[in-house]
Amino acid sequence: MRPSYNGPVEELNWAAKLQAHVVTPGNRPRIHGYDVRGDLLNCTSFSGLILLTLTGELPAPDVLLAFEKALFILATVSVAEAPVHASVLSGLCGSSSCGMTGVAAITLAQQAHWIVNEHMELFQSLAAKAIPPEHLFSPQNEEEQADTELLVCALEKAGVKPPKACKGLKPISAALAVLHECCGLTDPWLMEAVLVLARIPCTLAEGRAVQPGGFRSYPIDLPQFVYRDEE
Amino acid sequence: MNHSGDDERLFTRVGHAGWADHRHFGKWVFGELAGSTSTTGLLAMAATGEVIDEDKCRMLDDVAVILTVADPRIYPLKLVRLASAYGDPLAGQAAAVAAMQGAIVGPQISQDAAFWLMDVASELGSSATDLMDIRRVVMDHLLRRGRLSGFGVPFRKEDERRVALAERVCARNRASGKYWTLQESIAEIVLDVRGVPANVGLSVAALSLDMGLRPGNLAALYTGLTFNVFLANAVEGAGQAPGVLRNISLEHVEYVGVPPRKSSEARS
Repeated sequence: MRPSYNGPVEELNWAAKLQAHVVTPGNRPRIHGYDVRGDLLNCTSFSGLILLTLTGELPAPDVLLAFEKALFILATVSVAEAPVHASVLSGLCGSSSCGMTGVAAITLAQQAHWIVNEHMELFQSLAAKAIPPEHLFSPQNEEEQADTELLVCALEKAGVKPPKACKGLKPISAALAVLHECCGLTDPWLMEAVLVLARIPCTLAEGRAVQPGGFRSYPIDLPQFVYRDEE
Repeated sequence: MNHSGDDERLFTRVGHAGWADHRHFGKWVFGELAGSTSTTGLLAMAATGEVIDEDKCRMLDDVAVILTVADPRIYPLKLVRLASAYGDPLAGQAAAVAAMQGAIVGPQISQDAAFWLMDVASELGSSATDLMDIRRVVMDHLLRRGRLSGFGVPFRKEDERRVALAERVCARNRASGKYWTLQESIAEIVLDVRGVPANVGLSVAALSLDMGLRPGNLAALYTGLTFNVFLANAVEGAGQAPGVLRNISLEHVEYVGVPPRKSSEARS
């Protein structure tokens, strides 16, 4: 029996059903209309499935190749970066797998948002077919330059024409330019989602490699915090 | 210093772990705070970095109680229930906080409204009580911004929390504050001009400014102070871990996306 309390939920009209926009619920699921198991399983890769899910369309072969090459560059995130560092601390604290995944996802999402925001000027210049501002996105050293060239080389080898601006960019900027120009991922939301997806494996694996409770093995005062009573 | 000569040290007032006692915002935790500081006082100190006197803490208690609308059907709370539905209340709490980031519901409204009230007060200067001037400034903001923070009450004619808070503000003799009286005038003007009622976010913003709280701290402060609402749903939700929430019966779900289609490979 319902209690006799009344409020907006009881007295107003509301939708009766939960709406699905992307995946059909139940057996033989479809994503954006495509039968995942009966059709896509045999004709695309997991990366293709990701692009379909995020953009609503199956990618053309060259788009898929460009996407996969860019993911290689974006996937590597080291313990020097906050998401992996946080994952390591989560592992050290003995967090459950759910806890660690949650920490990784939250911090990666923050990092992705930060990175994409930092690159807005680059995306604007790409959209305007202008030269990107050098100081912000250019390689910081020869190694970075060489890494970008490796991406460009891999794209060319795969028969994908890299964006013109790519060569003058640092690796992560070049990879984002590839997503923007070759894959049509111009929506910052999509770009952030791809960054998080690409980086989850490294972030979790590094966290899992830590011995739970191994506190003395962790440099607790790195970077150094200095307590002050006053601001 | 690093090799570039940059100072890489981070300065903190939040805490230092000692051997026998610990520092927290310039106080000894055992020696000074224990026995004299309420949970509200600690939360307010955490969000503002300042010791908030007990009178203000009791006012903040009233705000927290009035914001306790804990119905699990309300969107952010349903989200807490879903994240807790596998049996762990911490997951629900974490999801709740994550969902509040940049949200158009919740404590962020008070923060945005506080910044806006300060803008209005600054434009009004010494004529902050002149109704004609207030009307002129508010009209200008309505034209420029369209939508104002702290306005709009979904699904009902007025925000019952705003009414309840006004009573508590009067009872605590805080209704004559500069921002409180300003927001009352603004609320009347916007209702008159646009037919849009003010919500509790505007009241909380004004009250907070009158209490000397910084607008930039308000989202964090009220997320902390109203955490009981998330906590209650997370604990009950995890305790129930209901299958009916983990998997909604498919008869209640409808697909409205792209109709069935085939890949070019399947077509050939």
